[in-house]
Amino acid sequence: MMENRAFLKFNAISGNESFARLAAAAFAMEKNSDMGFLDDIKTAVSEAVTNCIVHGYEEGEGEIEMELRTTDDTLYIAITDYGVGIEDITLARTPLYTSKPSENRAGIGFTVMEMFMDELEIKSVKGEYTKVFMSKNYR
Amino acid sequence: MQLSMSFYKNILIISPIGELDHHSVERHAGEADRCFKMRNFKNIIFDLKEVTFIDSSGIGYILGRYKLALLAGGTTALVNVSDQVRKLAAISGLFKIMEEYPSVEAAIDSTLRKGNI
Repeated sequence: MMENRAFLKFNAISGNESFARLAAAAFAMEKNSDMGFLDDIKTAVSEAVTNCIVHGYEEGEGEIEMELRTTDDTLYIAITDYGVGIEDITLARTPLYTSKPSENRAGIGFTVMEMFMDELEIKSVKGEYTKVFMSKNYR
Repeated sequence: MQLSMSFYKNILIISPIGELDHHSVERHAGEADRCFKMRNFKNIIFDLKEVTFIDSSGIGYILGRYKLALLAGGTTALVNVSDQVRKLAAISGLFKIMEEYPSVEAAIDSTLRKGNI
């Protein structure tokens, strides 16, 4: 079995959302270059990284880590911020719920990650970190 | 992302070009709104043909503009909906509140028929 890994650390600024999703897609491309598959990866990463920026660091300064790992059949992504953390993960995962209501927010970030990936796990300690694990089978 | 805007009677046609994510929405959120309010538009058509990427922030942007049209007593329609938009729209319930059309012309026709001009 062939394994490959990549680790990225970047500033929590909105301009890096596109960098992060393209990097994840580029990493996965060797195993599955189907556009639909790569779009799913890009969207899920974009949701996770946007969450780090908007919620984790509340649009302030910080760093985001993205770990990518692949086996022959599955892509694993972990995205971490060291921001405010999530007090109630079940509530945060509720479709259409948002902790920061604004006219431009749909409140479906975690739901999108769930639907577009095969697995989603969230670990968080309030005031310390939030880490999102996702995986998707290449099929 | 860039916003291209055109109009027909009191319908504002918004055509985002490029990536519709949190970054681009934050930068361009006010542009279409200013135009909508300044010229007293009532209806909005989103032509998504040139959208290369969209996530839930992009959907949030469309929902925000929908509320603007709703307050003005008008409707919002979607044109050139990609598979990715369709998947996100299903999650967010977007198609429950706005309709999809195969072309801008068809969306204009429907808006006219609804008497929202």
